[in-house]
Amino acid sequence: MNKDIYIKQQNKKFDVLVVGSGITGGWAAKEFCERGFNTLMIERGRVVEHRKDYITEGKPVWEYDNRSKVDNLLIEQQYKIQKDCYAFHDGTKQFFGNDRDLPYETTEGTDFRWIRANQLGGKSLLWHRQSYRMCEDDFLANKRDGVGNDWPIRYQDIADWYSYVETFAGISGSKENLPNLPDGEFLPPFAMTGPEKALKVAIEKAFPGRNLIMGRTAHLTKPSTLHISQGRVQCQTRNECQKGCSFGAYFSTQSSTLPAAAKTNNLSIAANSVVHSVIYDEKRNRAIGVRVIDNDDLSTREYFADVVFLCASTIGTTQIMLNSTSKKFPNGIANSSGVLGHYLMDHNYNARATGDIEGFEDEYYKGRRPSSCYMPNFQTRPELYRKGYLRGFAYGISTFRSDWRGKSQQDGIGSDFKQQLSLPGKWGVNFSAQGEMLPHFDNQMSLHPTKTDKWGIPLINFNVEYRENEKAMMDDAAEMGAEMLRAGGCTNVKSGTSYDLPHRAPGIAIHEVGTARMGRDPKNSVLNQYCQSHDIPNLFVTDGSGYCSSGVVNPSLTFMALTARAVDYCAKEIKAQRL
Amino acid sequence: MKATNLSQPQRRKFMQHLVRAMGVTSATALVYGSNLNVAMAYQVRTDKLDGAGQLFDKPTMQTLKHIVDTILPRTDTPSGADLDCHGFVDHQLFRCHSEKEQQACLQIISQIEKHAMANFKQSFCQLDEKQQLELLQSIEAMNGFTQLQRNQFKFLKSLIVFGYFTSEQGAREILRYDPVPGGFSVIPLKKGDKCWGSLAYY
Repeated sequence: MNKDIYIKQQNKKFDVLVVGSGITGGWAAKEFCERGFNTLMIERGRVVEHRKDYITEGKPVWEYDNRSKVDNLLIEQQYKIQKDCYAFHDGTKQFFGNDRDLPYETTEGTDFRWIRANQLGGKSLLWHRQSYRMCEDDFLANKRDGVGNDWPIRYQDIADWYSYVETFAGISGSKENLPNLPDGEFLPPFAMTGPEKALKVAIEKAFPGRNLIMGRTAHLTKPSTLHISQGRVQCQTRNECQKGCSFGAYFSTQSSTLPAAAKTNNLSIAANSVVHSVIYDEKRNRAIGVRVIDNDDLSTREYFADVVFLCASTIGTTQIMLNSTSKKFPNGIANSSGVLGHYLMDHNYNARATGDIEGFEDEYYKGRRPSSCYMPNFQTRPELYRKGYLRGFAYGISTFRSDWRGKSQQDGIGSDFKQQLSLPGKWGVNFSAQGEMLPHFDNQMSLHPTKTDKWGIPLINFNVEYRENEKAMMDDAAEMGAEMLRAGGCTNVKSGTSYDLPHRAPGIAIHEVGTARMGRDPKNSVLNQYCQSHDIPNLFVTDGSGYCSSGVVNPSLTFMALTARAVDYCAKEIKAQRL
Repeated sequence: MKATNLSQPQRRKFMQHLVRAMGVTSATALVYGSNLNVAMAYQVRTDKLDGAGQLFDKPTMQTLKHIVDTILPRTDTPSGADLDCHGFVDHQLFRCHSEKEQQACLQIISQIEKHAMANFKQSFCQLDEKQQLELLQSIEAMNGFTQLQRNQFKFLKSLIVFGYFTSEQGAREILRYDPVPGGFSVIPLKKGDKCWGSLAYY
C-alpha cells in the first residue's frame, strides 16, 4: 500500500476517527471514505501488509521447526492463553497477541479466555468466516423471555444492510427459505459430501424443523466483478486461511475493505497507536479525539476529529470507554446508565456428539473445504424451547474420512499396519454445538483498581461464568446430537460436554458481545439503535459491544451490517449538522 | 525466472509477481509443478541417526530406532528410521511436549529393554525381527504389560506415525500431496488410493 497512508503525528483535524481495524473498523473506514470523509483508522498493533506479511503462507509442514506445533517454552512465556484457540499453531502465532504483554485478571472462582489479534486487520485475519444472518426471532428473544433488554431494532431494520455487506464481502451459501435462518446474497455453496447428503435426508425426515445445510462462509467460490476489482480471486480450498491468503479468497480487512477505503485517498492509518481514552469536551458534550500511547516507545500523542467510531472489539472498546473518565462521566464515557461493562456474553461451544458413518467407501474428496455443514437453531421461540432452559443452539457439522492420525491410535504394528495408515479409513462425523449465552448483569468486565499494563492502562478484570441455563443447554445439545446421529444411522456414537474444562472457559468462542448494549431507554442502555451513544451524539460503537442478546449465529456478518448502517446514519446526521 | 533455490520471502514475492502477471490459476500451476518445494526440503538429520538426542541417550536412541522400524518397517516405502522418525520423536518431545509425556516415552522404552533382557537375555536391538514384533504386540495385548504401559506405548507410537507422515517424503511421496487444490469436490476412491498428506498444520 502507498506509504503516505501511514501517519504518526498529525495536528490537523480529521472528519472521523475509527478506532480499530478489524472487521468493523475496516467497514467503518471504507464506508466513511467512500462518502468523502477524511478518515483516520487507528490500530494499536503493527502494520500487516496484504500478501507481503503472510510469512507462513504456503509453507509445508516439514519446513517448520516442530512440524507446525509451537515450542513449549514459547507458549509458556508468550502464549499461555492464546494457545487454547483452535486456530493457534506455528503458522499463525504471529497474528495472536502476546500474553506476557497483555495480562488481565479474573475474579476468583471464574475463568476467561481472552484471544487477542492486535495488528492491522485484527481478528479479520484469523476469523472462522462463518457468516449467518440473525433471524426475526433473535431480535425478539429478550422481549419474549423477559431476560435482558429489548433490542431497539428488528430484523427488517437491517435486512437490506445484510444484503449490502454480503454482496461486497462475498458469502458462499445455499438459499434454504428457512424462517430461523434468513437467506442472503450468496455465491455458490461449497459441495456437500455423500455422507452429508445422506445424513441430511435421514435427520430432516426424523426431525421435521431441523435442517442440515451447507455452511455459509465468507469465501469467494465464484468471485463477482466487484470482488475482482478488490484484487481478490477464487478460493483455492487450501484451508490455511488464518496464515493470511494472498488470493484474497476470504474476506478480511486487508483483502476487501482496506483496499476499497485506500482507493478513495481519504484514508490515513495510525498503526502502533494504543488508544488510552476518548477526549471529551464537556462544554459542547462532544467527543473531540483520542489519547494515544505509542505501542513501541510509549510516547503519547492525540488525534482529533468531528466524529469518533469505536470499533476496537467488544472488550477493547469497553476498556477504552471505562478508562475515559471526566467530571460528567466518572465511571466511563457515555456511561450515565451504569451498564457499561455489564452483560458480557460469548457463545458456548461446549457440547459435541461424534459417530462413525458406515459405507461410502468408494467416495473421497479433493480439496480442503474451508467450511462445514450447519444446523441452524431450531429453538428460536418460546413455544419451540426444550424443557429446562431458555433459547437454543446451532450445530457445526463436519464429516471426514479418518486417516493416519486416527489410525495411529489403533492397535497394530508392522508392514500391514503401515500400509493401512496410508489409506483413507472410515467416514466420521461430528456435531459441535454453538449455544446462546443469556445476558446477565453480573457477567462483567471492569477496570482493575490498581494494576496497569505496560502502556499504563488499567488491566481488565473479568467476572464471567457459564450459568445454569448455559450448562443445561449444552447437556441437552450433547444428548440431542447423539440422538440425531443414531437416527442418521451412525455407529459408535459418543457425546459429551466441556464447559467445566479450564481451556473451554467463556471467551474461547471469541464471540464476545454485549458490554455497551443498545436500547431504547438511555437509563438502561449505552447505545441507541444506530450504535450512537445516548449521552454523546458524535460517539458511536459498532463492534459487538452493542449486542442486547448473543443470539446463536456467528456475529461477524451482523457486525458488518450494523457498522454500515451506523455510518450511513452518521453521515446523514453530519450533513444535517446535528453532530 | 526459475522457481528453484528461492528463500521463503523470495518465494512469496515470486508468487505475488506471478499472480499479478498471469492470474492465480496459471501461476500456481507453474510454481507447484516445478521443483520449488524440493528446493525448500527438510534436511534429514543423518548425523543423528545413531547418536544421542536432546532427551534420549545413545543406547535409548538405539532402542527407539529399532522400535520405530518394528512399527514402520521398510516395505515398498521407506521405514520409520529411514525418515529419521526416532530423531524426530526426540526433538518433538523435547520441544513441544510436557515432562510427563517425555517421562512416559522414557519409561516405556526402558520397559521394552527390560522385557527383552528378562525374556531373551538380549537387548531389544539384538532380537530378530519376529521377536521384536511379538514383543511390541504383547504391549498392545497387555500380555506381561500393564494398561499404563499400553497407554505409554500408544502415545509413543502416535508420535512416530506423526513424524513419518509429516516428513517431506511421508507427505509428498507416500501420501498424496496437493498444496493448492483449486476447489473442493467429491471424487471416487479406487482400491489402493492414498490419503491426502497436504495439510499444512496440525
